[in-house]
Amino acid sequence: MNAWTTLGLERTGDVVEIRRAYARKLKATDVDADPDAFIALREALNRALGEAFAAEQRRIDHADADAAVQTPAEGVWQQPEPVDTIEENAVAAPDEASLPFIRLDQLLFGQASAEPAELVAAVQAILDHPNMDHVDRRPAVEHWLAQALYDAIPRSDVLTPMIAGHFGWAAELDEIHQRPLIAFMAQRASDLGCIERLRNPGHRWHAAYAKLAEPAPAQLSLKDQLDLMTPVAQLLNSLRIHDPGVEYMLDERHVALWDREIVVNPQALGAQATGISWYGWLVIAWAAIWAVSLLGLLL
Amino acid sequence: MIVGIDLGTTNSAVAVWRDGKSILIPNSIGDMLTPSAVSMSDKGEVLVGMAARERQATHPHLTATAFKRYMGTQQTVKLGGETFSAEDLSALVLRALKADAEAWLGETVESAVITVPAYFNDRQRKATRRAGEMAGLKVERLLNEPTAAALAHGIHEKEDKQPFLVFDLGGGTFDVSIVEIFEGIIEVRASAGDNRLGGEDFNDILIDLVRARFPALAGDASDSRLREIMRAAAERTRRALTGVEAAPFSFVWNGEAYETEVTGAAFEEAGAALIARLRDPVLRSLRDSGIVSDSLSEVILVGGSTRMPVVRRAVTRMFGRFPGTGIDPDHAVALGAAVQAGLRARDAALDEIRLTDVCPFTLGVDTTEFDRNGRMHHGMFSPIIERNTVIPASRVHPFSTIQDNQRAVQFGIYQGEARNVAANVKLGEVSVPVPPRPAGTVRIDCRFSYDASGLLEVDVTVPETGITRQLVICDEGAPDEKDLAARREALAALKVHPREDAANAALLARASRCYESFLGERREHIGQLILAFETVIERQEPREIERARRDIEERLNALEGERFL
Repeated sequence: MNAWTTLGLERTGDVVEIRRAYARKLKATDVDADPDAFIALREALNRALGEAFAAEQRRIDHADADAAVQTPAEGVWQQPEPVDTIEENAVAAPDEASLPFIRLDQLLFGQASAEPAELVAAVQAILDHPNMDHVDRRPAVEHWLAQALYDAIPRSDVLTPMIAGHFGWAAELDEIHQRPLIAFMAQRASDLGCIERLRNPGHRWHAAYAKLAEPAPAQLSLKDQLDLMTPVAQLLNSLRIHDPGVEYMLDERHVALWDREIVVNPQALGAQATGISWYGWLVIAWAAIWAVSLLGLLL
Repeated sequence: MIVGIDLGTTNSAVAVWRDGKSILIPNSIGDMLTPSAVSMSDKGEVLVGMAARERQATHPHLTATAFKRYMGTQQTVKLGGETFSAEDLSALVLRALKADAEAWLGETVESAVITVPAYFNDRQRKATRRAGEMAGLKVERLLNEPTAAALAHGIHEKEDKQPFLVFDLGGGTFDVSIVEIFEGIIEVRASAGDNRLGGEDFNDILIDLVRARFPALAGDASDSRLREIMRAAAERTRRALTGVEAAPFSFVWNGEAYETEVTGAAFEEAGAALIARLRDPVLRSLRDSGIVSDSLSEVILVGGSTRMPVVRRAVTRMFGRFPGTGIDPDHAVALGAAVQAGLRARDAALDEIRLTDVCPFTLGVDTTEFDRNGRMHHGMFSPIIERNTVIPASRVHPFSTIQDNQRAVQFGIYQGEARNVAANVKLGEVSVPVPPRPAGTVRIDCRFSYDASGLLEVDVTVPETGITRQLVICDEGAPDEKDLAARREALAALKVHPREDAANAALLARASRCYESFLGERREHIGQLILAFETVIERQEPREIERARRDIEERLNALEGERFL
């Protein structure tokens, strides 16, 4: 059945009219006795509201297109400051609350690169503001920061783990309903954390990572291949399973050079696993002693 | 007769829809709230309510409180040789409420609308329904607590009402709902919550705060009697902090008096982590309903824990305005449950009112997904009913086989928000045989039906063969009909302390607790009061007993302040 007949209504774009028709029909429905009737009614409401919304959207788009034709180019140069999302009239007269945002904006997108300490201080000023407790301001600030971090990669990398930690973005990665931008930045923060660990000389793949982080040579030296084939293969394999983003932060051509060698030497990845274990050696040693003693008997 | 029951973590209440309005029913000692506490008396009789609550500190091994927190789990408590689950204990509370309602109404009560936290999962809901059945009540509906509060609040609204937010922080659970009223339709737009956050957690942090000041107590850290004595003291201090900047925290342990002072500021600092947990459900409900907080017409506080100034301040900061104070946070849920009972009974006064609610969780099945590199990932959550879908709802989702000549398809049914099913709540499992075909060519339709009480049914159909299978609950805790009947009998066989004597029992339990929490002369004085009262009770002169009771109550009030619920 058509949504409009279910609602007992002529097709209309009037949302209030649609909801009123739904209310009328709902009162005539015994939801407990006939849940299917309710489900059908609810679906009709959603579809009718959807159609009304789409029609309204088309109307607005047309109106915008007309307006755009009438007022040439003018608006294009006045790109709203990112600050806009926080405080409505920030552009006209930046009030006290929007100053930290303007400051961070300048540091992230200015000509000269900023000191990490300066960046951290600018972010801290935003996070410590009492506005951050407000349930409307907080998501707005969160979104603004995520967008700024995204736009300022890689300059924002010093800030990403800090801000991700403050808002608990890591949890977003485990959710089914992700906000794409937040999930992207959470992944970035996790990738940066991974690189931070690989930079530690004590890490077992540190040497492999340090080699991959170098600019690509014309071809791999034999010494590197002999020393690093196994750890590089293991590192790349592990990254591809657990932190796929990290691979894209490495020199693509350098990775490709190693990949070509790894494909030719598939044993590199499993070098340790296919080695003979200690009890294997025990068996071999026992066989050798037995053979020697047998030889001794024969002689 | 259908009654509405608020089965709370700390207190419960029962109300009825009569003459076009909700009325709370007083219990046998005249209170509107009945503590959700069960205790075994020294004579092996079951005490419910105030008397049981008072025995918590004096007889922790014979008393159970806050058991709603273990609803739907296997956890049991032993009280004087009998083993009880949270369900059994809830059934005893419900049975006491039913008796109170019958005595007050003068007619039998067969059925009830029982409220549950919106964020209660399927297991917790089913356990609550079973508790109602064991108490001899037909459970007409499980109603979400914030929805009930919204109903109590919105029933008087003749006009349409812009969305408002119900902030419900009870003894053990936290819920947030966004509700709108339009043409008499009270519509819940979104709910979110935390079913492990409430006033009890604030007591715990207060106890930890004070314990750190008494190094002498370190050795008794795990003593359950000390814990309960301190919990009673914490409850008193926490309530006192509602009105003043600093309140005493005092208790007696092993014949020694401990006393310290807790300031509101110290309490707020210690509770910062709990306060921070209030924010996420609010953010989520706003995001899900697509509403900005500035456009909310009101923020309504429900649940006794919202009386805490720390919570009120946090709410004020979150919304940039003061919350509404129009409704009694302790009574709203029971009053709303009674409205729903009136709706169920098709009361003429409610002819123009309808209520629609949502399911606050995402429900779905586990599936196998392939990533970009062609790797198989098992145990990925595939949603079928998205959270905040209006209920009752029914959705079908088609799936297909992943292996050649697969013989059967098995679905795990899950509830939660995590991509990986391991982090969600497993509700059950259903398996259906499929004809052997190449991978991906057999279609399996999985239908989820969610009823108005928030209970789920699942059926899985293979269109090619027409075979259908229904959800088999794998929940090991869920008893079958035979177990249920046996438990109902076991509960019925328990000796129950006579209802008429409840006021005396409650007063004696309170006096015993006071006896243990004072020293010296005052202790002796209380001892004499108890002895005198026991002699009066033996004489069985109702008017004399009543007078003695009032007298002793006044004396105890003078010693430790008013009794509270």
